[in-house]
Amino acid sequence: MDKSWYVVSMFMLTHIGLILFLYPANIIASSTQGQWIPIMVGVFIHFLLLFILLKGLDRFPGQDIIAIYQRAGKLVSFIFLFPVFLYFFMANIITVRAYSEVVTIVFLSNTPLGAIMALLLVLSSYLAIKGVEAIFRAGILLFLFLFPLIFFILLVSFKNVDWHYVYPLWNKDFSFLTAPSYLQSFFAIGGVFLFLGFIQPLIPYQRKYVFLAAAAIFPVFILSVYIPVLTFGEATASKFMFPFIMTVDAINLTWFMFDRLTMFFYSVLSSLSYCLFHSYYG
Amino acid sequence: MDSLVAEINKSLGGNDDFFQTNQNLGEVQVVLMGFKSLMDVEKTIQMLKEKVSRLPLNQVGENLQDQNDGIKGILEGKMILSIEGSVISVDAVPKTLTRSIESSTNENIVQGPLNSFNEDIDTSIGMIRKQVVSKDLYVKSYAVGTGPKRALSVVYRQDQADKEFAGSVIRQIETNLDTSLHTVQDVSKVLGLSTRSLISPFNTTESPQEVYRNLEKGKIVLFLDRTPFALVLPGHFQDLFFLENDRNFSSPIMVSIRLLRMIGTLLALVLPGLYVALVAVNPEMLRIELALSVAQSREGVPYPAFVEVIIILLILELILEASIRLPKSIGPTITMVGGIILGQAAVEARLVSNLLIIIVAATTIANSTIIGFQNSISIRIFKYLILILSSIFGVFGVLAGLFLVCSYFAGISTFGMPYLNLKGDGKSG
Repeated sequence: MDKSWYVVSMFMLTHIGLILFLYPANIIASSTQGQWIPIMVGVFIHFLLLFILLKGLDRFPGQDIIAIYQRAGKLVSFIFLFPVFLYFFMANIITVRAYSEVVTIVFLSNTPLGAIMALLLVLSSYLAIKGVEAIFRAGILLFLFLFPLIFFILLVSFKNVDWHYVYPLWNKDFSFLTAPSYLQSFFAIGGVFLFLGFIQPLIPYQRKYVFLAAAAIFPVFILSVYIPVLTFGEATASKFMFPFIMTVDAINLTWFMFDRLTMFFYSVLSSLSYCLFHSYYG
Repeated sequence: MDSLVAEINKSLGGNDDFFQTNQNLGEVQVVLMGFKSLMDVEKTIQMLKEKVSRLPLNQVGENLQDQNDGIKGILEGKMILSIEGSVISVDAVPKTLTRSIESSTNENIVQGPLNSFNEDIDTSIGMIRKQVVSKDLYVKSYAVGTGPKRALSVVYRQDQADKEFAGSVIRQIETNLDTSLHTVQDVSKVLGLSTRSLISPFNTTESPQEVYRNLEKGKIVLFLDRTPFALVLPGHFQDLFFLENDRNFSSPIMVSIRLLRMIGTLLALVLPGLYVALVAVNPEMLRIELALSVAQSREGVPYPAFVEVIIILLILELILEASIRLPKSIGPTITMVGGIILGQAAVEARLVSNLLIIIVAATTIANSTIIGFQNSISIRIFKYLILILSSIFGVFGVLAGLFLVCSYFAGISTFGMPYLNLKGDGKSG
């Protein structure tokens, strides 16, 4: 049975979680104006890599990446799979720490970091025990549950926007291509979709839906960077560790019974999407 | 053959409802045996006489060879005839020992068919036959049990149900025919399913209308004799919210009713946890005016919010359980005493806050919107998981708890069919 729907929701959740969280700071740090240029370059590379990955997988229907490389011998599979392993390994360690730090900053200032990290690890390991399909099914449920919240946050985050900050639009300086922070931004967009390579025999999906999902989250790339920039201006936004979180936190909705709800929505969404991501790779 | 009569007499004769009389049927003298409690003796003899006038005597019933068959026949409510040389068992006119078809008692149905299954398995299956007029409706019955046998019937639509799935269910039953079978838990054992899951693998329903829809979706329906509801296999997450009877309303109404149930489920899960989180861990999340009024309502309450919630929830669960135990005539008294007097007094005595009473009441009401009693119990239990997490991690714990509940749902599958199947009824690989 075709399970593209599983893949689409997982793809969107994990990407949105990482993009809103880590991406904006890196982009804002890498270029002082016309941020859409580095974003577009990043998105182009994102699509290119995605296309290459899916094209390659198409040549080996019903096999996952490990099986494909193992046919080429031990050395080749080591050379190609070890970096992937390293990426997941590092991503896991870094994101556990980073997310629990955000949780501490946002609402649990007295709770020891270790307790939050332990909770995150327990959550994701529990889901991981249930198996690959369970992860994807939980992903759909969470997607249905969180999507309205994400949409709401993205909508209300325009509240304090000053459109003058869009200018200057053009930037002749392409030095961002070599800036370390720009390269770091690929952490959020250049590797998350690698899970597509590992699920093939268990969860069959159609390629076009993956591209549709990628296209659907394209606005999130732009918004995640431009909302902080348009709210605070580039000079201020570059000072923040998590610009998007700061922007959302600055929103004050008078008709709302909660004071910092947007922020809590946001942190939760990223932590949950992280848990999904983590249970898959961990 | 007198020995056979003697044997039957020896093993059953001690019962006071056992009878053995001599009777003239036409020209022949016969001995009749059976249980008075299971048959209408007068009518049965009447029927026998009528039959004998048309048929030769040895053709009115089944010829028996073995004494065990005789005893089994009597226990099943048959009448045994002993004529020199042979023993015959005859279907007797049964006493009415089952309810007539009534409206359902565990599920209320608004604007829909009211009839419900009852304890008699044949009546229940008959109601389905009435509902599904199709040659594809397939019924297979088994007698399961170690000592006393109990009937278990498998019903499905041959044109809809997955062949592999139906086959594996039937195979499971056939391999476990000598398991004792009395309750729904035993049915799970016969089917080789876990009895320790918080979510029942079956969706139970009393209404033939629901069963009709489930059969159409390709599900398998099990009936256990002496149990007045159908067990639909596999259960799905949607069963918490979707009722076939909703389709008797126009579709916007249907959608809003179902949405209401989803909101109810979410609130029942989250509300107590959210209260603890917002009062004890993350009061800064609330708007300052609200935070102050919450703090004011808790003024003088001597223990932490978590303990406060646990106490009140415990009392509430006790009220719920007590109102099931009590006779219908006293039930309302408990509601009155528990709900109004106890709640009001607890607030007056400053043992719990006003707000908590509102929260707990809302939780209970929300919990009651969930379809199916067993489902609402599951949600009631999950609520405590979220409560505990939220008392440690605050609002973040509430969502961590929700995540855990989602993971739990996602991990369940029966016969390879996932519980959380949000799109279609496909089989998972």
